[in-house]
Amino acid sequence: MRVPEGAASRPAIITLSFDDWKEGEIFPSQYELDILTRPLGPAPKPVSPRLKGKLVHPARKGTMDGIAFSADSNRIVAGDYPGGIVQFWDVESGKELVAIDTGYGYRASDPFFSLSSDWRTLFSARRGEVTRTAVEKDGQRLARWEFDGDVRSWDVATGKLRHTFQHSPPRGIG
Amino acid sequence: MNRFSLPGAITALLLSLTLSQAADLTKIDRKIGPEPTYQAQPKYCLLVFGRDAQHRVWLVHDGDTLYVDRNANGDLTEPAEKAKGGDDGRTFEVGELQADYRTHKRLMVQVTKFERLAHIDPEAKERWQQDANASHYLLLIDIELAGRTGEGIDGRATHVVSRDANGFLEFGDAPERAPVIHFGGPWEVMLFGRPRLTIGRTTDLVVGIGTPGLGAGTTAYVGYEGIIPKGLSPRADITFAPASADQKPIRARYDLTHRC
Repeated sequence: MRVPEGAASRPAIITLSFDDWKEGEIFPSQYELDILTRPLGPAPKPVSPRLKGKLVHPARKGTMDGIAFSADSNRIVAGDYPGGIVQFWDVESGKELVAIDTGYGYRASDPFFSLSSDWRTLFSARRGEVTRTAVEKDGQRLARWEFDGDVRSWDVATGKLRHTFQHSPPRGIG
Repeated sequence: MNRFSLPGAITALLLSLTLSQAADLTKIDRKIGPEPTYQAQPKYCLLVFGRDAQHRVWLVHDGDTLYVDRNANGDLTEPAEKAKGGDDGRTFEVGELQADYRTHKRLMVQVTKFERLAHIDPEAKERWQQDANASHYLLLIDIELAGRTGEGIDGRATHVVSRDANGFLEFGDAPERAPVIHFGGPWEVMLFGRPRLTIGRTTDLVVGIGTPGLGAGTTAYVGYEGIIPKGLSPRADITFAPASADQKPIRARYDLTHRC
C-alpha cells in the first residue's frame, strides 16, 4: 500500500476484515496508526564541473568489482559481480576495448578476477558441481564432497579464452 | 519512555480496538500454585485455553530451565514440568501439555537477547538500547481445536507467538506482570507487526489471523496452511486525514491477496 501524497501527518484508521471467509467467523479489528512525514534527504548537489566523462559498464545490474588502472594509467578495468563481465576501457578516449564474460556466479575471491602484472592475461575462478557421495566404512557413515570448479584465463587483447586449469581428479574433502 | 513508540520525527500512536467478543483477559486469575526454588530471576508467562480462557498454564523461565505446568493444575514443582534448554541454552523443546480437556503438542519456547536481533531489526535495537538484558520470547505450539483442522500434528493448528502490532513478546518478572497468551479463543484478522507508514512511500501491510492476548507480542497467530481456504483474502480499509482542512478524508481499500 502507498500512503497518498495528499495525506496529513495525522493518524490514519485501518480496519481489517475477512468477509470473504464467512465460515471462518473471523472478527474484524481496527487500528489507529500515525502517519510519518517523509524525511528530507541530503540536498542534491550539481555534478562537479571537473567531470571528464562517463564509462558505462555493459552490465547494469551487478556490483562494480575490482576497479583498477593499469600500471601505465592508460587503461581501466571493472568487473560486475555476480554477473562476471570484465570490461576494459581506454582512459583517454573512453573507448570500450574489450569485454570478457567470465560467467555468472558467486565466488569466494574478491575481486572475482585478477590480471597478470603486464595486463595481458585475465584469470577468474569458476565454481563447478559440488558432488556429495555417502559412503559407509566399518559401520560408520561418512560423506565425501567433491568440487570440480576450475580457473580459466583469457587473452585481454582479443578477449579469447586461453586455458582452463582444473584439478584431476576433482578435489574432495571427506 | 514509551518503548512502543515508532522512531522518527513523529511519535506514533498505535491503538488496537478489539471488535470481537473475546474473553476479558484483564480479569484472569493470576494465582500461581507451588513454585520451585528458582536459581535466577524468574520470568513469567500465562497461557490460557478455551473460548472463555478458563484453563491456565504457567510458564516460568529460570536461567537454563523452563518450568511448564503441563497438566494445568497450577503446581510447578512436579518433576515432569521442568524443561532444560537445548545445546544453545535458549531453546526449550517442551513437547506436550494438556489443557481445556485437550492435548496440545510440540510446544517450543525460544529465548533470544535483543542484542542478537539488534543488527537486523530496528525495533529490537531500540529495545536493546533501553534494556541490555531484555530478552525476546518466541512460542510455537500445535493446538488441538474443536471444529478446525490445521497442518500441525494430527490435524492440530500450529500457532506462533512472537510479536505483534504492540511489540515483542517478553515474559514478566512477576505473575501479576506476566503477559497472557490465549489459545482457542475467537479469531481476528490482525496486523502482523507494526507497519511504518510514511507519506508518499509504499509499505507492505502484513496481517495474520489469531487471537489477541494481554501485553505486547501476545497475539497467537495461526498458520494459515490447511486452515484458510485458498483464494480467499482479507481486506484493509484505510482512512487518511487530508493534508488541508478543506479536503475530504482520503479512503483506500486493499484486498490482501498475496500469502507469505
